Amino acid sequence: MMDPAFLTIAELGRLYDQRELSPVQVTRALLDRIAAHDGKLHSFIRVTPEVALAEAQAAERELMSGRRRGPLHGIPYALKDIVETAGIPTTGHSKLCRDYVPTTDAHLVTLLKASGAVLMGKLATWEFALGGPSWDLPWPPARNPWNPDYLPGGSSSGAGAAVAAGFVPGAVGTDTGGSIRGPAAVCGIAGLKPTYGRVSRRGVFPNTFTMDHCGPLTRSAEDIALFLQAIAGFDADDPGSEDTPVPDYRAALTGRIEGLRLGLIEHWYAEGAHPDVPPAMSVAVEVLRGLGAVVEPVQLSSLRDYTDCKTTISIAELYSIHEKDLKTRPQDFGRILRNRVLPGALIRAEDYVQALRWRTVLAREQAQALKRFDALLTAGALNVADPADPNLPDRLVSSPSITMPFSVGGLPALAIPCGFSRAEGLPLSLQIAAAPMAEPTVLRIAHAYQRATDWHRRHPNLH
Amino acid sequence: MRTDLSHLPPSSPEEIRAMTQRAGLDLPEELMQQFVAAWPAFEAMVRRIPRSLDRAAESAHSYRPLRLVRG
Repeated sequence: MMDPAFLTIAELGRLYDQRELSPVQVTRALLDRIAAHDGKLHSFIRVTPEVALAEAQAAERELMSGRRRGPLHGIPYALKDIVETAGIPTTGHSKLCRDYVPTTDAHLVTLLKASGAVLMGKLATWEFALGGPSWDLPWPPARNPWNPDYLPGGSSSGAGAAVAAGFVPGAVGTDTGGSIRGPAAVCGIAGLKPTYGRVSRRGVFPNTFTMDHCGPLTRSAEDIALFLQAIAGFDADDPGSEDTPVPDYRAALTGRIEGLRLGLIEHWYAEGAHPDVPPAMSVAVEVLRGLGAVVEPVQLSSLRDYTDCKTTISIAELYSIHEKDLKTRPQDFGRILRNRVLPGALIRAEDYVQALRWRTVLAREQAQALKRFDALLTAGALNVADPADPNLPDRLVSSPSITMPFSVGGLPALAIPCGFSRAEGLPLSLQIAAAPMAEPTVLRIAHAYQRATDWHRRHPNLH
Repeated sequence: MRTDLSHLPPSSPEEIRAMTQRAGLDLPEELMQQFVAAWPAFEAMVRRIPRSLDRAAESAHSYRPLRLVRG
């Protein structure tokens, strides 16, 4: 049997259609791969083989009878462990929720079940999608499959590691300030933060109500389109959900980007980034120009401004979520999360509201830029993966983030691989953002880029 | 011209402890020491927020009563 470890969702679907592989075969092979290798990577908090095999068998029966629900039918996937699953513990990678078993599924899980996808398990995360990497939690931090001496980024750490390792072809992560795009960037895969309101957050542990997003991590832009199709849509029970029609994302993958106007935000990574980031970005830009895109520089506010605005809003909202536990059982939080959330106790009302007002100003700046450009380009990460060192200083506030600007704007933003660092041999990444609900534009550019390059076809060797 | 509060002197450890207690937090000493070390970076961040936005600059909140009724 063909090894399905690094087949994409699109390829698996074709092989199911041709009866060359079956969902049960693929599920068993990937469960075996997880059992063989995840002891070093810790990407899963909980593997759910019984659920996976039951769902794979059901999918196989339907596919054999000629009923195809859609592109995720029979496709294994996994969930960041802040996404609630009925009857399956959902821990937030935290001691506080170690024994929490939800009674209902998150809205997006309901949609994935309806699509016929196969749940393989629940994935490691930074504690409550913010505090990490942490070594003082009930489960160890996930490691980077390209080199387990390094981390897979966060907070969707297990999602980045599991997809890059070939354990699942797709996973659901969440992104408040870069928690999908960061792991995607340092693990050499694709990760999309959709437009705020595009994918329901109902049944997902909150981080920052005004900036939480759910989205897919996969190994190609085409797979992002297929996965997003299954989870996007209006949810009347999510107050942030947008009642906007869901387009056919795969139809956007024309391979053609001639004449598209792309704004390059070079000043965000020109200084202070890993030395291999600017040259890798230059090469990526030339590829896009070669495909006919018109790339011109654009200047926005500094990363420091965006990071200050986003983080002030976040810690105030986070504190409101965790206040009761911080007052009654502060020792049960990991050190990093506790020291990132406690500052919210000292944020004054006027600080929070001024940050929210500043957010409008910064978001309008992006909207203005997107009147001139079809999409914006910048690096997906300023650095390669961090070493797995428990003594690394906390950089949440001290180092500006290149993913937070599009969180502030609520824009769709996709990270895809664009090279490797010379010294460490670790992935580098390109980030593409566009106007609200312009996911088709983002995916079209990324897909065209991936047709012209093979970075997304390179995979780590697990020993 | 942008104005912010970054000219203010950083809070002393004693002031941080007092603010924390006023917020209703009674942290064990070890955790308090960690927080006293963590807060200055956050304080500097908050003080960099511009305080000179146009009077009409709207907060990026979203309150849509119809949505709550429909939900």
